[in-house]
Amino acid sequence: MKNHIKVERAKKNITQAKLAELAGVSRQTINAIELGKYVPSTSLALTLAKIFGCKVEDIFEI
Amino acid sequence: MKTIKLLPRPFRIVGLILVSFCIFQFVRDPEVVFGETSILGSKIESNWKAKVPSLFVEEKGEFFFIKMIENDISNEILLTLMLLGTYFIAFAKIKEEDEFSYQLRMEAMSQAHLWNGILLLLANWLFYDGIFLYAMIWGLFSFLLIFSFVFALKLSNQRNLAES
Repeated sequence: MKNHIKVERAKKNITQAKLAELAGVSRQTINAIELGKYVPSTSLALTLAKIFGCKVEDIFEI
Repeated sequence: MKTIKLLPRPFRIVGLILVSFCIFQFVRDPEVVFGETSILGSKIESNWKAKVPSLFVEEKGEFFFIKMIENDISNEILLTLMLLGTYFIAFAKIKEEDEFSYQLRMEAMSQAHLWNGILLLLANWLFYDGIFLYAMIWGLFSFLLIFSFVFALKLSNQRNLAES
């Protein structure tokens, strides 16, 4: 699964640590998602979409 | 995300202390596993003798299903501490517990299961007689020890990856 979290982060100018704090997870989790090593749960995907102010399918794609 | 119930973080340190103490005892005196032993160098069999219930006792050719017997319980205490210690290490929370660490925990658990099976299979063909009993005693804790090691390794790898 591909994702555009890094791009969205750059748009919003927030660091991995800040995004992790906002999403209530560790920085390692955000890093693993960005690298495609971990596919987040539905609730985390929805939380990330809410933080970026977009739809889940705008951030994640198959 | 729903995850398994874990112990508070300080249990990890308690577990490490317990396991270190027990491993020290096992290395110092391997006979500790089978009783008639000592703790920290002083013979204390007499102090640790207690009446305990035992299942399947054979006495003078007669079998008993449950019978109270007198036994040196120092080895039972050490094995209990070792098991508790390994459980504490394996199932205590880490600093940042979330769904990713939960997945790493599950991956480590399945890998530990595989490696433990391989080690027990090898032990079956490489150790005989009395030594095989030691291998089986090791088998009591090996899963939890391997799991703790693999989980710690995975966490460390992830931390290094996030740092770079």
